[in-house]
Amino acid sequence: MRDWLDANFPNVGSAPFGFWMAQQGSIICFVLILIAYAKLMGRLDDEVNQEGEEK
Amino acid sequence: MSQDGYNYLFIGLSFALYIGIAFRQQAGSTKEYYTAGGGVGPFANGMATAADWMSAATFISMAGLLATSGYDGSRFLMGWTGGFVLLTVLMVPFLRKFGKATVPDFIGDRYYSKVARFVAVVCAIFICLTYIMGQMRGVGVVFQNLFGISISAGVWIGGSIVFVYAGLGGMKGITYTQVAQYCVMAFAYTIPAVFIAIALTNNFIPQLGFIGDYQVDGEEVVPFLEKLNNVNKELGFAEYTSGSLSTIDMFCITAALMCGTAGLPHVIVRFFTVKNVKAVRTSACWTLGFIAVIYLTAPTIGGFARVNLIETLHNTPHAEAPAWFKDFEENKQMSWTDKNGDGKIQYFGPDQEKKGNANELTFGSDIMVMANPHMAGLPKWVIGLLMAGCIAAALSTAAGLLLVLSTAISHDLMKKIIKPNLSDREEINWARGASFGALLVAIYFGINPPSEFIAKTVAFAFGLAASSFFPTLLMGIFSRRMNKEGAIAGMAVGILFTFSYIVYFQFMGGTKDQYWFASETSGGISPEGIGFVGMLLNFAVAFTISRFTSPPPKEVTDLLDEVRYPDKKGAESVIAHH
Repeated sequence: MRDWLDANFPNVGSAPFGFWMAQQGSIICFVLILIAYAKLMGRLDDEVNQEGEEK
Repeated sequence: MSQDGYNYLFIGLSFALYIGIAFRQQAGSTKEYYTAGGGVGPFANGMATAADWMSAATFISMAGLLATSGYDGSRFLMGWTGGFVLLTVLMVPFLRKFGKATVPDFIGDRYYSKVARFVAVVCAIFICLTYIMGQMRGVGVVFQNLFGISISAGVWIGGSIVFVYAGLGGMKGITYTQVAQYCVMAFAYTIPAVFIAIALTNNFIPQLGFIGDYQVDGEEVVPFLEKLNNVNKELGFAEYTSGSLSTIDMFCITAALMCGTAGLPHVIVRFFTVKNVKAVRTSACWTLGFIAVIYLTAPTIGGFARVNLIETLHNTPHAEAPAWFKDFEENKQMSWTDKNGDGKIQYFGPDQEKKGNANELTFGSDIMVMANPHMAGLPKWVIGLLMAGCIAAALSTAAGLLLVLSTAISHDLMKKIIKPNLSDREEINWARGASFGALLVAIYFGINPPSEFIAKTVAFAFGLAASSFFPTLLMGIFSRRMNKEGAIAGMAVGILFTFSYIVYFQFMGGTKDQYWFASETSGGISPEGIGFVGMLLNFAVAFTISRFTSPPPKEVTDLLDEVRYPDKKGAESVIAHH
């Protein structure tokens, strides 16, 4: 997996992609996932709330 | 001002701040003691959780491990942050909605059983104690470096301070202390990194410098990571950017750390302190953001420290070695033996040793972060700040753990199992007593640690959490068929299995070739990664047993449906309606 990433993606700066993903990129992705999750779930909550009021 | 002066100043100031906050925020009722009254803002809670969760292992040990093990160290980075995502998406919003104050409390109610609650209490105690040992050890190491006192004296000092504000102030006390501690930690971690990045790569953002070029006057400009690889190879170590662990071990350790993070009781309870489910999610975003600030810096510190260490020490005559080296030698954190008698320090890895070049320098990787600013020749106040940060990291986590321990005993063991008519006041006193007792045990193990590296000790705690709480909580939320028999058996099997594997290899002289799945070509699963196997066992056992026993009562499944359905009323706790 790691080697495949190294071989098939461009280097980030001077770091091989797989190495960069392991030490930096994955963390950045995790933060983005959580932000997206909070936004989406918040929206879902709002929708359900509005339906509840209309009834 | 001298170095000691700065150290005393920063640490004294930070301690005064923590205790001052704790006194202003004393808990009066059990609700305040357990969940700070439930009204902490998402932003503040995010900071507090980040501090709670980033332990001495993160702060002191991780960069050191990264420095010595290069790519292999990534398991800690990915495991710990990834676990946080699992925690937020799968666990805390649901648990918060269920509306219980502690984790065993949830398990006890969800599985309608005192036995399940009791097993959960035992698991919580095991996890927290293992974890807190690592923290106490961390405090000891810092104090030893600072004031030249023995590690045990340092552990005692740290322990007493934690007791003052966590044992007495409860969740309310530690929440705001942790906010302060996060600030101290963030500055203490990033400022030295920035200075060093400027010195080595001429780039003031460490993360960019890390992937940028190595630029030091009088030496040719090469990409920093290439420099690191070259230096490592020259001295006979593996290349920095390639790993040495077997894939299966790396996978298991990362998975155990991830699931363990998601099952850590002290992090879960932090989310019971915010107002509603929406706030839980926002707060989790903030937390991971704050954590990322430090986690993105850690690998850069590791890399920089490695280059610095080798450049300053390798082939340097011992008589000309910098003053800090002698300090570290004095308190036995680094040692040098002149094997070839040339008066110079030589640092060699396995490949060079095979060629007959003896390695003369040994050091524990835990000291890397602390030695780093010395190596880079940073101003004294930066070092003082760093020391305060190390201690903040250890104390904040120790406090959070202590709280879980004490509430597990006072609330779940005393009030819910042994003596149901306990008054509010008595319950708090029990909690304080329990935290005192737990601390004594932790101090003992802090002085006599089960493993030499802090991060490793802590990895065991994660393994235990992954094998016990994670599957039980997960199935408790998402499986309507899961009943008490399955949950109890699963938890018991998971934690016993993991615990015995760790004890066997850590204390009873098990050797590496006895690891599971070990083969001629690659290593097997180390005790750090066994939690993942324990977790799979837990799932399997719980699933099988629950199919052969009676399903849970209807109230419980109704409750679950309500917990899982999106919120209708701005997310008050479900329990209130029942």
